[in-house]
Amino acid sequence: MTTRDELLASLSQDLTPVKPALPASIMALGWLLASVLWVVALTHLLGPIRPGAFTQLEHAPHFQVEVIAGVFAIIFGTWAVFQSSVPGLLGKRLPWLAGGVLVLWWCNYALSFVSPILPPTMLGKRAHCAFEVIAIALPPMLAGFYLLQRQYPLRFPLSAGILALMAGMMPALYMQIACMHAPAHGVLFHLLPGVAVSLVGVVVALLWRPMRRQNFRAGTR
Amino acid sequence: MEDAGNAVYNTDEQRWANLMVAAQGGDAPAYRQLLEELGPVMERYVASRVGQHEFLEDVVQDALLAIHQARHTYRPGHRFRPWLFAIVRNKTIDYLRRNRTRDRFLARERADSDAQGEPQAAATPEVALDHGKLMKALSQPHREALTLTRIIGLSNAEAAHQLKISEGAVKVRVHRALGRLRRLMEAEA
Repeated sequence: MTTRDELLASLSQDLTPVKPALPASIMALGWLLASVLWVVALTHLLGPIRPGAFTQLEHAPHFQVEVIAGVFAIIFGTWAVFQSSVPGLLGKRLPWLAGGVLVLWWCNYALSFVSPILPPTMLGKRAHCAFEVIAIALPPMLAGFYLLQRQYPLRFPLSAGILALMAGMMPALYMQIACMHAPAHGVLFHLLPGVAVSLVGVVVALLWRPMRRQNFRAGTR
Repeated sequence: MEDAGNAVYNTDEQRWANLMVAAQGGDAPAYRQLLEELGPVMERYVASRVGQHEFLEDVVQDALLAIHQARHTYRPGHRFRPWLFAIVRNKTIDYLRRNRTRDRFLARERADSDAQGEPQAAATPEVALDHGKLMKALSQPHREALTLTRIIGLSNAEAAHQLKISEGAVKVRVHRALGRLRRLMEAEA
């Protein structure tokens, strides 16, 4: 280890100006909007939307609650993740709020086994919806990782895992509209693949992290 | 008295924020001054929480490096201390998790023993070490496991032998102790 004086001298020598990073909320909003556009566009490109799904969304309050809870869970989760990428910015309430809404949303899935949100139907069934959820989620996940590591997340694998979960939840939620509607199908082929994306995200983040450290050492940031 | 303390606190806060903004603009002398001022502040912060140990200098240097890498994330107009201490807390826990203290500690022990012409000593007893307030807040089993493995630098097997528990139990205690330490530090923020 060098002496502190040597370190201070090397850090302050040839100091290059840096542009303060964009506010975390702006980055979160940008990522969220771009990802939503991507998810909606790709889902429509990969197959037809369940006939009558949007009419059901208008007229079935329980279905509305599910979708709205999902939307808010994703918004709060994304907001919290981007806040966590700036040291000291994330407060204590937001993670609890995000986690609480996410649990409420997931409880809705469990509740649908007892009291179906919509009459179960095979109408609109997509052959590979589970794979679609994962494939659609990966590009936003990687784009999000790129944005996160441009900030300074103190616990990158954790932040990345949660961001990957949010990336997975977006197509999982939209697949509830696009694909057939049945409680077990929703959990197994839409929700669980979305959750699996977060595991993929943690693995990618753990591999990404050493590269990030090397870059820091080489002073390439 | 309290007002004077608050005034110093606010003056420091404002000065550091201004120096950081200048540093973001490429002002090297301001940056050097900022880092020179922050070094002792971080050292006191860590020492008061985990104790006065060999590795303090390493933690401070890690934190200085992290401040350098994260300097673009400080937002002008925002409070400086939460940003700074979030980094310091993280670097402290990271350092303890990585367990790099063993070689330095043992090297010092050997040097002390050689100087006194005594046979090489085993690790210093846990009780003889200085503990910061957060280390004291850990339960005794957690503190012992953390101190033996991460501060004194024994292997898990050696610590297990000393504590008369299994190696797995040592790993669990260390893991829980680090988690608890992180939570205690975050709760302070």
